[in-house]
Amino acid sequence: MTVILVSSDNQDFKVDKEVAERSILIKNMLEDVGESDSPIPLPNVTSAVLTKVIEYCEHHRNDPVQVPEETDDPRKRSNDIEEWDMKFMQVDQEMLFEIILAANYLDIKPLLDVGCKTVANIIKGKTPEEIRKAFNIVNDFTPEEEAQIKKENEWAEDR
Amino acid sequence: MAGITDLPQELIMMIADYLDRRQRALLASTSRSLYKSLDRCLWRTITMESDFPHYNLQHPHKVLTDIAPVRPIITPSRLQQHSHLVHTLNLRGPFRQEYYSIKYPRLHSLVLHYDTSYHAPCDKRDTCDSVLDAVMRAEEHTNGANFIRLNSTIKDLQLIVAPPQPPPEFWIAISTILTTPARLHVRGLAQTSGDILDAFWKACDLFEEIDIRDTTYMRLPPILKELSFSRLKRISLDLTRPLGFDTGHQLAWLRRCPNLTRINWRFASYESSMDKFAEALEQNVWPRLEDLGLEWLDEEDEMLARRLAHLPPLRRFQLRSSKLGPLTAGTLRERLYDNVRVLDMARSPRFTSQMALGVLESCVHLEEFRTFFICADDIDLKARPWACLGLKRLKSIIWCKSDVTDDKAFEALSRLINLEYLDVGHKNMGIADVRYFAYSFSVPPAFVDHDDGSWSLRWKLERGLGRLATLKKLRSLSLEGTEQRLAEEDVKWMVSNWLMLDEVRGLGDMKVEQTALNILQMAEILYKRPYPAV
Repeated sequence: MTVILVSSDNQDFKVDKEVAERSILIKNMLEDVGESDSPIPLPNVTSAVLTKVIEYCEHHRNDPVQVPEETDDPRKRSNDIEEWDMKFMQVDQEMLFEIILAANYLDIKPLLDVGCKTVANIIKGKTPEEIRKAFNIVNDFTPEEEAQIKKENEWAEDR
Repeated sequence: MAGITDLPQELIMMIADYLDRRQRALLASTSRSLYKSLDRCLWRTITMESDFPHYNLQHPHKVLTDIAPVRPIITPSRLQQHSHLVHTLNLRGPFRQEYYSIKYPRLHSLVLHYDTSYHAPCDKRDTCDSVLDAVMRAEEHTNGANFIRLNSTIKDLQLIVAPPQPPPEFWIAISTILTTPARLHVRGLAQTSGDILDAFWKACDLFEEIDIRDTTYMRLPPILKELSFSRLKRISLDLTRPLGFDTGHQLAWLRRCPNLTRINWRFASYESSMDKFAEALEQNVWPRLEDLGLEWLDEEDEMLARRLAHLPPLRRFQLRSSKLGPLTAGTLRERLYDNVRVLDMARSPRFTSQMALGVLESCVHLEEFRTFFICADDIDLKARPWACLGLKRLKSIIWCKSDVTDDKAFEALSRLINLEYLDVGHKNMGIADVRYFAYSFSVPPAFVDHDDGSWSLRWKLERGLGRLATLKKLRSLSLEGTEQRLAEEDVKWMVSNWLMLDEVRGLGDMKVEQTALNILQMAEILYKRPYPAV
């Protein structure tokens, strides 16, 4: 059984139901409408991004459903990305953030996690100036504000 | 075009989950929008040390010279601006009055640490004025009381007090203002009597958990008889110089608290109200008691066993005794082993390897076990298999008498597939200490014969480390003080087999240290070196 997904630029994507249901949003929609051939509009996702997301869901179509880990440790690990996912995430930065936003909108938790880990790995080990350079962030602090924040951050403890 | 600054706050927070505090702070300092997204986690816990002048009390010649503040403190206006984000506030030393006039609407936890190394600022540098100091210290308590009056949401209150003692107003503020008091930790209360003491005990009456330490010259006031302590569930008492509030008085107080589920009690070694305590256990004074810790019991084995004969079926038990022997161990087996989840005998050095193995073989429900040592040669899995397969935390020195027993120990450990924390080291103890300790408590002589630490389990693949591939949940491993000589292949094996591992200690004098460290760093595993031997 297949479903048709329609991107924001009106392109149709025919995918297996099992693949589409990696997205909890789509899974819930399908459950709500029942048996129906009508295409599912995804007005927040462009065709370029949807192509990538479907590629991810195809590859992970048989993964077991992720159960949230019970842990008291607030720190999560970002070094455990699978090799295929790592290659999959080697995209330009605009696409990386588009994928994260799409994964959030479509409610695909494992893809969202991989996206967040990838961004966290870019941040790690960098100075604020290097982080700004890596993400094209404009420094809109005044030098005084920056000094103040630097000082205050020293007193902020981990949760 | 999408960039990091286009992500909504919830996604920035999700990314921040993978960063440590420092990295989060660095990310927040790149731009205003990112700062705004992260301010919730940056301001959650604030710990500040006073910027008042203070002495270095650790100065080798006891010369009182001022030392500079650690770092400049946050201004009151900035704290005010972010006050709604602060859940935990730790203040050490005196602060200007403005700091105590801030209301934090979500404050849960407050630590006030009165520190006598601080003194009042005065005109001449490097000098101090005792009159100004006395005024400052009195103001500190008034300010503290005012602060508590403003912040009624505080649940956890930790007070490290120093002379002069907080006045009654201070304790009255606590007992009249706090809406949901839960935990009170007090250290350093001394020379209290009269109104102060009455106010103190009235405040205590409201909490669910009380921890009192380092308290001297405190009388048991008549007011105790008027208080019900019906909310009080957990008490920790650690008063080694009680002078006034002696163990008899302490027990009288404990007996007034019928709903206790936890008692942690450290005795003064020269006092003993143990027989009365044993009596209270026998009379079932605390029907809900499930967690008991007793320290400094200097009694002989036979007496101790008799004292513990009426232990209820506890979930957690901790005993620190220097004279425990087979009779006490037998009593513990009879009273506790069917039910106990957490057993801590690590500070009873005469709890032998055989007794420790008895625990592992019998306690089906055990989740955490701390003991002094296990001798691998005593392990016999065929005749006496381990029953504690749900064990999550284990702390014990593992000693191998001969070369062949490493594998035996690894095999036994490999069956504990739920293990998350494993500590086979001896923190803060060098080989010489262990040898002395073992000698003093008549641990078999072979224990002390090896100078090079080779009596300890060797964490190497050639010794059978590979058996531990089953410990998929292992998160923390400590070999501190055991003088290991791991090779690169051993470290690589650990990192690739224990995917949950995020902290190791004491891998020791690694021949390929730099390479091993690189491996750990790549896997983001925190490596702590052993304490340097003195």
